[in-house]
Amino acid sequence: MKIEAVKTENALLIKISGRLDASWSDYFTDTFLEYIRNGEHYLVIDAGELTFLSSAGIRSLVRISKELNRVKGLLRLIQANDFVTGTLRMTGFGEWLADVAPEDLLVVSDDTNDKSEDTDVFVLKKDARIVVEVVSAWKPWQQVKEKEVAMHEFQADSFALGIGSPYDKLAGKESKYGDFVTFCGHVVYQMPEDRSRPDYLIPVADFVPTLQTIQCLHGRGEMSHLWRFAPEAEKERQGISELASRALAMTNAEQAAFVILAETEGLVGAYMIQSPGAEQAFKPNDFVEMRQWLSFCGEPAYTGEQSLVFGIVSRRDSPDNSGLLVPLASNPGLAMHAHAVIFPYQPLQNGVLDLKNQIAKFFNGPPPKGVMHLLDDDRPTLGLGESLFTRGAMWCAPVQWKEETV
Amino acid sequence: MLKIHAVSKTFFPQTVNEVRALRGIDLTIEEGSFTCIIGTNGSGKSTLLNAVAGTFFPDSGTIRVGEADITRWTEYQRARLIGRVFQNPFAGTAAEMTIAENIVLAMKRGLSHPLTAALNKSTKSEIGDRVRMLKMGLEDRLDNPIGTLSGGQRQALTLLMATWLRPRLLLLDEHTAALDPKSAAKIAELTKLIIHQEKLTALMVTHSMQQAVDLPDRIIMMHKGQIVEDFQKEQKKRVRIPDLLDTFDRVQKRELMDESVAEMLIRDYV
Amino acid sequence: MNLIIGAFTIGLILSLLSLGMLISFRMIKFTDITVDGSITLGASLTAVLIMSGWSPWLASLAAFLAGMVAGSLTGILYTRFKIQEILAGILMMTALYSINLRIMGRSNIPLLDTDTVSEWPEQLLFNFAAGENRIPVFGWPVSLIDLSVLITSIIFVAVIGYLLYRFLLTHFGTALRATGNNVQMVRAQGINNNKMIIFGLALSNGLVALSGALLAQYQGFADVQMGIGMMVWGLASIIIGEALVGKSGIGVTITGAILGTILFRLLIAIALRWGLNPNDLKLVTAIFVFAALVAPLVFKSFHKKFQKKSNHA
Ligand SMILES: Nc1ncnc2c1ncn2[C@@H]1O[C@H](COP(=O)(O)OP(=O)(O)O)[C@@H](O)[C@H]1O
Ligand SMILES: [Mg+2]
Repeated sequence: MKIEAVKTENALLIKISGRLDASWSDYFTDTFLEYIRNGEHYLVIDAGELTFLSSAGIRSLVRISKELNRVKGLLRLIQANDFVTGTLRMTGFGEWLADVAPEDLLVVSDDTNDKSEDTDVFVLKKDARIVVEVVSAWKPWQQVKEKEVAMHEFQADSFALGIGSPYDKLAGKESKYGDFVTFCGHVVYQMPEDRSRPDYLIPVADFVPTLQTIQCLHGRGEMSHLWRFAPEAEKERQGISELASRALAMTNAEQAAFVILAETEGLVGAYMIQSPGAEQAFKPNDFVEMRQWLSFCGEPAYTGEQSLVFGIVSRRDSPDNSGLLVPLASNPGLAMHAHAVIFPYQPLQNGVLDLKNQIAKFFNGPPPKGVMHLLDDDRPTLGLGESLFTRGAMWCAPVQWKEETV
Repeated sequence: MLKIHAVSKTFFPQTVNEVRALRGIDLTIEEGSFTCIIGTNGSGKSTLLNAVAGTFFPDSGTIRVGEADITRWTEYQRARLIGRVFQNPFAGTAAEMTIAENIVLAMKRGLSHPLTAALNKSTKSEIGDRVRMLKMGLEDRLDNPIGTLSGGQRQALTLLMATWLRPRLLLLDEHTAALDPKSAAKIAELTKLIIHQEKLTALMVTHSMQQAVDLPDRIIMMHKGQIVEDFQKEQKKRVRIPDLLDTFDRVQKRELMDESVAEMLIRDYV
Repeated sequence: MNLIIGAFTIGLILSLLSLGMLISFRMIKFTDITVDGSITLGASLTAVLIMSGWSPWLASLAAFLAGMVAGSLTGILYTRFKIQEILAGILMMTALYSINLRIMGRSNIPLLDTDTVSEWPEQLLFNFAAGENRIPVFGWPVSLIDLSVLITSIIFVAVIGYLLYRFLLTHFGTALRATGNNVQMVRAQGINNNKMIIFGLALSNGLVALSGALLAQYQGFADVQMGIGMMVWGLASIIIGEALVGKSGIGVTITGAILGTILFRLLIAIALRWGLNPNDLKLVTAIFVFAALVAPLVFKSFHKKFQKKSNHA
C-alpha cells in the first residue's frame, strides 16, 4: 500500500493506493495519527486507487475518526470505488463518503480559517489578572513548624503550585508533604514516595479540593492571553524560558502567571520522595542522602506526552515578593517557579482553546503519569538544560501580588 | 522462616576485580510464602541464593532457617532443609545416570546413603507414579540416562527432585531462562502447581516480569548487591509489569543523582 | 597352552586393578596416578607379611587396607589441601616408592616355598588328580599349580566383581557415581562430594593393592619397580573392555573391564611370542592408549568433514 499526502489550503489530501487490510492497517493508522499529531485535523482520503477495504481497515478508519472527533476534525473519503463505497455504506460509515474532486480541495473555503499566520496570539480578556497569594515560610529542608502551614482551598479560578498535603494533621513523615500543582481548582499531588503515581483531587459538586501547604504560590483569576505554537522551520521546539519570556512580552507585565498545555519534547525536573515533617530537621549535605529526598529525572523525561504546566515568571530586576522564584540559567533576565503534571498524549484542537474545557478534558481522561518541579539544569557538560515543548498552547496573565502576603 | 541478616559478600576483595556482590542484605521470608527476586544482570540475585544454599560462606552476617543458624553449615548439610533448581537444566541432574537413579538420590536428599539396594520394584513404582504427574511420558523411560532428555524435561525432573522430600525452603534460580518459551511456560506452571500443592516456602529468581507478576506473593528487586524494592501483600497485588519497569527506571535514575546534581538541586529546588 | 593360562591368570589378577581404576577414572572421574604406587604397595606388603608367617589371606586383606589408606591420602590431598588431582597422585605415588622400599627393606623380595591364597584349591585338585602333577585340559597337560591359581583368580574376580556390582547399585554407590557426573547436583542433594571422592579413591586403590597382592603371590616375588606403567595398562584394558561390550549399565561395564584386561594380556602374550621386545611393551601400550583416546575425536572430525562434503554435493 502507498500513502502520499498533499497539503491543500484547508485540508490534507492523502492519496492511498492498494489494499487496506489487516497487514497494512497498523501502518495506515500510525501514519494518520502522526498527521493528526502534526496538527492536520481535516483529512481527505483520495481513495481512487484503493482496491480493497477489509474490516481491519475499517477499524483503522474508526480509530482515526475517533481521534479526529476529539479535536473537532473531519475525515472524508473521495472517489472511492464501488466496492469501498459499498463496504462503508453497509457498515454504517456512509457519512465518511464525500463527492468532491481532489482539485476542488485546492479552493479556499471560508468557514475554517483559524490557521492563518498571524492569528496564533489571541487576546482573551484584556484586563484579566491573576492575584497571587504566597506561602513561603518553610524552606527546604527545615523542620516544619506549625505556623508555617497554611490551608488552601482551591476554587474554580485557582491556579497554584507548591508543596502540600491532603492530610490534615502536621505530623512526622506521615504528614506526606509532596509537590503539587493546581489548574482551575483541579489538584494533582505527588505522594512523597518513590513508587507511587500522582493522586488528584477534582472539584465535583460541592467538593472543594483543599491542601495544607508549607510552600505555595496560589493565584486566582482569569488568563488574558493565549498563544498557540507549533514547530516552524527555524524553530522546532520551545524552551520553557522562551515561553515564559513570551508570556511577559504578551502581557506586557513585570510578573506573569502562565499555563502551558503542550506536547513534550522533554521535561527536566525533580520531585520530593520523602516528606519533611514536624520532628525532622535535615540538611542534605551529600548526594547519597539527597537520593532519599528527591527524585531527579536524570534525562529529559516524558517525550511525546502532554504536559500541563503552571508557572510564575518575573523579570530579575523587579522585586521577588515570594522568595520562591529561581533565576533561570537559560535566560538570566528571568526568575521562575513552575510545576508540571504529565498526561498521556491526546491531540489538541487547533485555534482558540478554552482553558477550563481542556483542564476538564485531561483530568477526566487517562490518569496523570507524574508531577515535577521543573528545573533548569545548567551543570557544565552534564547539564540537561531546560524543559522543551514542541506544540501546544500557553495561556498567561499579569500577576498581581495579594497585599497581605509576605 | 528464613532470616537473612546483614549478609555481605565480596569476590576478589582488594584487587582490581573486586566485586561487592552482596552489600548488607536484610531479608525475612515468611513460612509458606512465595517470593520472586528480580533485578538487572549482575545485581547479585544468584549470589544471594548461593549464600542461602551455602555454595560459599558470606563475609559477614547471619542466615537462619527457622531456629537454626545455618551461616556456617556446608552446602550439603543445608540440603536437608533446602531444595534447589538451577538455571542450567543440566546442572540439577547427573546426565549419565538414569532417571530413576537421579530420583533415588533425591529421595535421600540430606539423609544418609545406606548400603542397601537403591532401586527395587516398589521404589520404582513409587517413582513412576510421581513422574507420571509431569505428564511427559517419562514414567516409561525411567531406565534411560537422563542426558537423553530435553532441557525442559530435565528441568521438570529437577523440580520434582528438589521437592520430592518436602524442603523447608525451595530455591529456584532463573530455572526457566534457558528453555524455549513453550517449555519455560510449562515449567513455570509446574512450579506454581507444586509450590501451591505442597505449600512450600520458595525463593525464585526470575528474569521474566510476567512470572514475577503472576506467580509469587512478594517481589523483591535487587540492584548492585542491595535490595532496592520490596513489594509485598497489598502492594504486590496491584503491581503490574509497567510498575516493575518503572521501578527499574527509578532505581537506575537514582544512580544518576551525583554531587553535581545535588548541588544544583540545593540551589534551585526551593 | 601354558602361555594362554598364564595370560588368563595375570589378566584376571590385573582385572582387579582395572576394576579399581574403573571407580576412580570412570565413576568419580578422577585421574588417579596413585595406582602405580599402590599396586606395588599391595605386592610388597603381602610379600613381607607372608615371609614373616602371616596367612596369605590376611596378608592380602592387609594389602587391600593399605591401598585404601593410600587412596584416601590422595583424596585428602585433593579435597582438603586443594592440590590438583594429577599432582596429588604423583605426590602419593612418589611417597609410596620410598614407603615400599622401607616395607621391603630392599628392592625386591622373592616368595619361594610359601603359601599362597591358591593353597586350598591346589590341595583339592591334587586329590582330584590322584597325585598327578599335571592334568590334561583340552588335551594339553597343565600344571596343577597353574590351574589352581587360575581357579582361585576366577573365584576372586567373580566375587569381587559381583560385590562391586551390588555396591554400585546401593544408595551409597549411586551417590558415588553421581559425584563423578555432576558435583553441583550431588552437593545440592546433600551429599558430601569430598567424602565421596576420598572414599572412591580408597576403594579404588584398595582393589589395586589387592591386585598387587595377588600378583606378587602369583609371580613369586615383589619388586619395587613392578608398578611402573600399571596405570596405563589398566587404562588400556578399560578402553578395550568398553570397545568390546560398551558401557550401558554397571554390570556390563564391570564385565567389560574384566574381559578387557584378559584380552589385553592375551594380546601382549601373543605379541611377545611373536618377538616384540619386552622393553618396548610400555611404549606400545602408551601408543595404544593414545590412539584409543584420540580415535573418537578423529572419527568425529572425519564425520563432520564428510558431512560437509556430502552437503556440498
Ligand atoms: N563465584 C564468583 N566469583 C566471582 N565473582 C562472582 C561469583 N559469583 C558472582 N560473581 C559476581 O558477582 C556479581 C553478581 O553476580 P550474580 O549474583 O550472578 O548476578 P545476577 O544473578 O543478579 O545476574 C557479578 O558481578 C558476578 O560477576
Ligand atoms: Mg517547587
